[in-house]
Amino acid sequence: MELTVHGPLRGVTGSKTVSIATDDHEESVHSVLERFVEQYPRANQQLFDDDGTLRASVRVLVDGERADPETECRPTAAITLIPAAQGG
Amino acid sequence: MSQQIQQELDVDQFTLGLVGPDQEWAGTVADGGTVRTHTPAGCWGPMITPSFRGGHEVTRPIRVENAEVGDALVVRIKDVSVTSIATSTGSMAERDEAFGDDPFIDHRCPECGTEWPDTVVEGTGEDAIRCAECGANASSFGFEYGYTVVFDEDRTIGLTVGPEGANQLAENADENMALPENSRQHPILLYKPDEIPGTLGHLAPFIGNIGTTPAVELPDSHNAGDFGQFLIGADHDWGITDESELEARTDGHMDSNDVRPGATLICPVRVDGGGLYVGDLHANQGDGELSLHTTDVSGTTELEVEVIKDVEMDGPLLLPNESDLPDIAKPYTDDERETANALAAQYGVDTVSDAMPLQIIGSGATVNEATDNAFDRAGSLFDMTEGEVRARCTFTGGVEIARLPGVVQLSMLVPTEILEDVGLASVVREQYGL
Repeated sequence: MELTVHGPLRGVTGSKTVSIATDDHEESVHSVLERFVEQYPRANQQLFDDDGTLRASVRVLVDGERADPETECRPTAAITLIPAAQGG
Repeated sequence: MSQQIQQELDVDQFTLGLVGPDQEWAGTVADGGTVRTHTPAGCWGPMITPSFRGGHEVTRPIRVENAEVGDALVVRIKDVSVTSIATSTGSMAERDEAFGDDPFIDHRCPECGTEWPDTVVEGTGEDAIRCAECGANASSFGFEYGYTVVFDEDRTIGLTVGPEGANQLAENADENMALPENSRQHPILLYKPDEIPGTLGHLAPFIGNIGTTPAVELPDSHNAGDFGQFLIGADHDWGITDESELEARTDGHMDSNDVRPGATLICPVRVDGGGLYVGDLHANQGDGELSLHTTDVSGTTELEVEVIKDVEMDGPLLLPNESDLPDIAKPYTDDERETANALAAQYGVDTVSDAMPLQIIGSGATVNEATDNAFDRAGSLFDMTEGEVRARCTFTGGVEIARLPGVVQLSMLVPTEILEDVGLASVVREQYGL
């Protein structure tokens, strides 16, 4: 599965587009994000709070459409990931 | 009123967190004139005030006589002074349900759902900002780790205070923050954080957000290549579909601690009149702004402006104080030129190129991308290949972090004949007395 990442997440991935291994069935956005963090552990703070809850300003698009953590993704889906807003 | 050209223009009106061509003008200053501002504090105050559409409270745009699209606006920073007595800052925690997509932009009351609700202050502390409609805590931010700093009368040092001091400063927060009369933010001192008490810091005030108006409307805090990333895919009015749309930015929010008295900025003009805006003054900050926030303060600036016609710039340039330049990017001395001429004669070099310092601002999602952006901007402005830019910046300059994750200053000693060709030689000569 291809993920396009934005913002400071690219400091973790080292590139704008990354691939994560997928099974041959649909899975939820939340599951995809968990596996993304397994692959890039330093991304955790930008996506999840200390309780493991997805931060409110994290945005995920699946094939260009806004998605919730429960949204199901096809294995071939294109995921766009914007981390929690930071700055001042 | 705004069309009257004034040699000296005092600005005391602010936007609700937006910059763009539709904002009401603050007035018109003469080409060669002086602008004076007194701005309210940047990040934290607007961040906790739900009526704002961006993270800062900057001036309305200032029209500059003769400035047309395709020109450059020279801004010489003559003075930056802190007026706040104290401030609070630290790292942030967003509050779920108090915003739609971006806690800096699309605020809404978590209880009654009112968008950009009017709010009232009830007491002090992180639950003091209350929706005027329903009374719920409507602020979209709290502190993850916060501290309160009080300044000496001359604003030379800051000292962090404990609970007693923070509480004392919160009781008269508006006055202690020195918010100008037309400011619409709530003062962050209300939150009274009290970590790391007894820490003494040196003050070195500078301007965090200063630049020309972009041709498209943007939240003021997001007018940069790194912060602007959070607009991608957002459903609010300022959301963008692709990061290529960020090319419209003017990088006013650069948070470089070198943007201080004695420095000169050169900004691209993207709307007729330039639309210079100013805000987000900081009392001090180390390179990188590592908490992502620093000592936001109200303060005054005095700026001299000048238009240079027909300069094709993709982003702002900075001429810092000579003392702020990397050592190898400082102007040549007469002794160095003489020594170089002797070497040139010995080794058959026809000409020793004269050169002068300049910094190209670059911004992007990360420091690496910001540096690439600065390379692109330098190559475009000076008609150099990336290889030549890298070589000159390695041998006569370097890259410095203004703000993490992605604003940099790329220093180079630029050949004087190139600066002559692009129309910037005289402003650089004046800056460094060459």
